[in-house]
Amino acid sequence: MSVQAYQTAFSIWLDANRSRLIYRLGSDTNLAKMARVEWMKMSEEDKNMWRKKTDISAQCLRGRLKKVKRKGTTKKTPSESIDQSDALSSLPPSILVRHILQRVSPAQYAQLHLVSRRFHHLLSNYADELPKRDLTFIAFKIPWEDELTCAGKLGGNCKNLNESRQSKEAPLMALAITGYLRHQKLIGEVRFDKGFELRHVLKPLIHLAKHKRLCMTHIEFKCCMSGVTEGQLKELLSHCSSRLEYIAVGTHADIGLGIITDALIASIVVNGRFRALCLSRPVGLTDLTLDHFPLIDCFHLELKHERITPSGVYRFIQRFRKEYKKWSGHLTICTSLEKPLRNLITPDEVRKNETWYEGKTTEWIFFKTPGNRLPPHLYLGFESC
Amino acid sequence: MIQLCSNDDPPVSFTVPRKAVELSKTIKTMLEDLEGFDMEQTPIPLPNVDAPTLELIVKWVEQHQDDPPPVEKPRVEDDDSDDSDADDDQEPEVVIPEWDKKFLPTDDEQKNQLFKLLNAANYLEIKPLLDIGCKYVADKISGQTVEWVRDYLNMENDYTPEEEAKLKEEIAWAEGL
Repeated sequence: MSVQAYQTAFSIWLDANRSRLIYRLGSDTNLAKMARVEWMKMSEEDKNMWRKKTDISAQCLRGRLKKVKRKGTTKKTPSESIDQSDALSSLPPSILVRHILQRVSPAQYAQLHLVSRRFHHLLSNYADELPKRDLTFIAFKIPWEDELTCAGKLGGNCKNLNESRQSKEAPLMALAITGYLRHQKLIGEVRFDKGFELRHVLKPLIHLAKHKRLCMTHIEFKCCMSGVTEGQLKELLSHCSSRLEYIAVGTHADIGLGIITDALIASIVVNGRFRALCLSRPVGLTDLTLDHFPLIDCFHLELKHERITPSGVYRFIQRFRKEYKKWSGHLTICTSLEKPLRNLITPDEVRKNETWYEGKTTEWIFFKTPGNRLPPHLYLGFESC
Repeated sequence: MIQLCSNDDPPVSFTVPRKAVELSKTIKTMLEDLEGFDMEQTPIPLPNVDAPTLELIVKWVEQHQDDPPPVEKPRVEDDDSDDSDADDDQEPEVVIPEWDKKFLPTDDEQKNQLFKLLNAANYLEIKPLLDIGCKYVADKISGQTVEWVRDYLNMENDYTPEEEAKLKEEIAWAEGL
């Protein structure tokens, strides 16, 4: 082979080396998948550049260099060489996103969206790959003046959005949520306030949870949950249950039976951090939840409206007796169970409490060791339901 | 020794020790693939790199040819079932060594050269050079105004006033946080 022919072939090799993900498509399915993903992410400008390069046959590579017929030096096309005056625009998205923007604080991303359309598209399309700011709290609520409308509004600590955006339609709201959490990751509490329709935002929330933007520890439902199914809630929580510690349903929540189920709770508790379930509205849980609930430090169960039986509570106390040794916890059930339970078990201590909202309540204490004022104890509270 | 040729007309040739040139993953792979050819006699053309940029590349690889090889993280495939916290795939913190600080073309009039260097480092797969260059650019634009970033990156504001106003409204949430 002449030196010139070799150099031509080698130029082709070098160029094609950069598109190796494309030419290996046929034999490697993982690479094929990766290449398809990369291709979908590319801008039209980049795609056109690669389309031009497809003239380079992959078969010219590896062992077939001798088949290259071109003579003379490589003819350079404008897309193949770096334009002296515009080196930045030729930086591929992979450099801008994975090497430069990756190293800029997420706090600045909002500003960078304004730099140019290209930056806006890069920041939006590659948001999943970029670092996120930690968000400790978010509440979904409707403002007082809109309380009678069916629309909701994103609120909480995003005061500006709450004041400025009057999105009253679900699709807009979904967009607002996605945009709001584009460069943030929820690590604390999410609350759905009274009157808010959860079904309007469930789909974007599932999407965000799937992409690990919702890593909350607490979730509180005070909202309207009509139209929400157990399956949807299960999907949402399945993506963010690894850090979930607390689920509450508030007094004013509009929730029917069969949304929060024993099976749903069982799917959450397997992830290990779940410790508190406070239900101020009946959701239809049974003894099964008591049987599976983890007895970890400061566990807290408020199940006064649920279908709990004396034998279920008895089994729970027996399980605590076998497993506890280290931790204390609290279980609240309906006062109607107090009398039947007296026939099954005797507490170490009974005390009467008085609260401003419930009046007088009774609390039984188990496993109190004489002389040891420290936990572990099991507190069994009775409240009217 | 290996000869590298720039894309200029006529091409400018640089002779570089093989150990240094192998800091480029692209050229290293090529040399391994063409084992048996007498590569010391055949200049390697680099169609995407001009002479000033190639000179910088050569200077950098010669300086760093004795550095310990960077530790490569295995690529993590997409896995929807992974519920672990998602920050594991972030790039490790890069510290720009003193020599590299002086080496990088950082003057305002040289910034186009810096971007060409990043392009070439990407093309030749010289990750440590790409890392320090990108770290420099990221630090440079951090904390700056939109106008400053546009000016530094030679970017024009291609939004219409209406689009810009709408976008500002859309991202207003971030301002007060």
